[in-house]
Amino acid sequence: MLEIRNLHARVDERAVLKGIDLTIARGEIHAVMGPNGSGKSTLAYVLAGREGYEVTEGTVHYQGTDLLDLSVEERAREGIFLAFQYPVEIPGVAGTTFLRTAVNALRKHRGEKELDAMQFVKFVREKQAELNISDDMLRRPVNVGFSGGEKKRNEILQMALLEPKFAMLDETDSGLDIDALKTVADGINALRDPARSMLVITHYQRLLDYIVPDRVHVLAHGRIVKSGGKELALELEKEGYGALAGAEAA
Amino acid sequence: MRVQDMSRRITAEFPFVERFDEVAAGLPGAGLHWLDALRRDSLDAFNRVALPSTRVEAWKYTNLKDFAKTPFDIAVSGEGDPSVDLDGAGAGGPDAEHRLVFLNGRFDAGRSRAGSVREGLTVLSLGEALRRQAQVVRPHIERLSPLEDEALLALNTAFMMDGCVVVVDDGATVDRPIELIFASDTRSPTSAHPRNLVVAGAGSRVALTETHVGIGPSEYWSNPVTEVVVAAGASVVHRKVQRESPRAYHLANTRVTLAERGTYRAFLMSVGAGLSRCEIEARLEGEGADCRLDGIYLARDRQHTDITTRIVHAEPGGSSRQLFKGVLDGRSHGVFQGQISVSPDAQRPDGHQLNKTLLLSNEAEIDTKPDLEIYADDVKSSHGAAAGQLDELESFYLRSRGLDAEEARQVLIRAFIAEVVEAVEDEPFRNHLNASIDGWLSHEAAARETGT
Repeated sequence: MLEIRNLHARVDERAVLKGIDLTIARGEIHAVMGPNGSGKSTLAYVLAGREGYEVTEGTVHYQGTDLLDLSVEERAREGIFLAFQYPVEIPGVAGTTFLRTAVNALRKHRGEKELDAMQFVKFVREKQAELNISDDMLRRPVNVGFSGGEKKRNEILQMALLEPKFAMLDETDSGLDIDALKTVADGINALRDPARSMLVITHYQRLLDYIVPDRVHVLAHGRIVKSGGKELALELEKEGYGALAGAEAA
Repeated sequence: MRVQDMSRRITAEFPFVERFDEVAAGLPGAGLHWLDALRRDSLDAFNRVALPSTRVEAWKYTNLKDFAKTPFDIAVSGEGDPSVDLDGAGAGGPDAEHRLVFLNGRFDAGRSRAGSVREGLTVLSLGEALRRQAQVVRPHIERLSPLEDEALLALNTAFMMDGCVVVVDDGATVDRPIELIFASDTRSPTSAHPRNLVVAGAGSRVALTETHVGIGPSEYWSNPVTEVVVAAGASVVHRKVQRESPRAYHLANTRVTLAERGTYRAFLMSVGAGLSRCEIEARLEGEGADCRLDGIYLARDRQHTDITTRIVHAEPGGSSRQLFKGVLDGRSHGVFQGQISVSPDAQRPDGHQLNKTLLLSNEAEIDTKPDLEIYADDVKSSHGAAAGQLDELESFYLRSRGLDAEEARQVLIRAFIAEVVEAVEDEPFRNHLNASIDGWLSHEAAARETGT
């Protein structure tokens, strides 16, 4: 599904990723953990194609094609999805309009008929209920005035509607209380699929109690310093990042 | 008389001005002594003051130098292609109950539905009103005599061609908007000087929609003046869409007076013309009067668009709100000047003004000048101005959901002006606005693609 080889990237002239190797197979869930500033979000932005995140070395292959050759929207249309750590507020654009435009952009790309407003309401209703998202929330401008939990639920709703093949969840647990975390995790688990891979980025182990990963990687100073099974997350929780990160720096 | 500082003036030699006597003989109301005299006085005033240069503070950002060199004449009656389709020009369509069409400044009876004097409401062309009800029109036209520095108003008064006269009787309510279409279709540089008068009697309610369009290949100049009188407790909604052709000069003056508890709601969309200036002055002359001005300006290429407002709080307890948002691309130049003036007697006024501009290119430019003149105490007043560019993160967010760069850009431009559009209550007009905005955006997208 996704194969990252020796990936180096910089942001504002500063090298952030310094040689990432990571392979994610179809249907697998991988977790990337690491201290703040280790490059977790940068990795997500690089894979999503954000401007200003410059790849200086290495390759990324996605379903056999060179991912780095594609524009942001081409990646989205090929099934790449990023649930933002800080979902962006867009005043002046109603939530439903935004969702429908996005869904139709993908349908158009797949050669399917675009949904009109009525069809879209039907399409979104079921998924909306699962994530406890009210009609009122969708009428409001995208993410404007949403609580932290509402923003994250809205991200997962987008993921459910866009049905990506490879989804990145960037600190989707941050700022959530335990109930909100469970709603979001249930939403994500409902989207587990043998044909869908995920990359779960998190600082804390607690999200991984709910979304159990196949593999766990520890990122420090722009490199993966340790990889293992789901038990690695628990180990980190006990011992902290200090030992690993320090060992790498030395 | 004090000596004029000529650096503050631009002398223009417009052929029609030179031929005043001949031209005036063919204008509406010719032969009415008071009007002939007023026209003559106004011509003298224009010749005395001439056009303002950028040394005049109110014209600092709008330069009329090139405009003054254009050999404008006056539109000849009957000019303009009779087959031109103007049905879709306005918001209300050809079936609007009251629809007045002016082609090159002349009333076009064939395309209009007007001429009604019925219970509570008079809708006439100015020419007709001067024939039938000159006594109603006269005090208003005479009252709006131009002051120094108001060369364009003076010229309009000297050459006022036609326009509409709307009189709503006390207590009457006009259900459907009165639609005015000003179209230009000329083959040589021509000027039109429409003059409109709207008088809303005490407690009455009326809405007007003005559309300005241009068709012909030539440069032309539209110089409309609209006077709106809002009597006690009356409510006037006044919407205007300026989408003149790219070679047009649109220099418009709207003068509004509000009596106690009168309300005036204006919406302006300025999207056409090579150079445009829409001046709106509202005088809150009665206690508790309420004025709201909203607007959108969209410009590209080398368009120059100027919105100049002046709100005078003359009596206590009045409130005014202004919200203008603009989108500028190419090498366009926007100007927003908003003056709020509060007289010493006007205690407890509430005046707010906000201007925001989205700059889509590095060469586009906005000059925004809030100007508060406050001589009273106990004033609630605010103003704000901001200019910015499209947000990279917002665009990335949209694109990461599959929208292409151009779609994302259009969504964000629309979102920027949505606040102003959504405040428009009349649905047909809002649809009309959205169609104009769509047109502008798709033209803009096409221009970007070809790199022009």
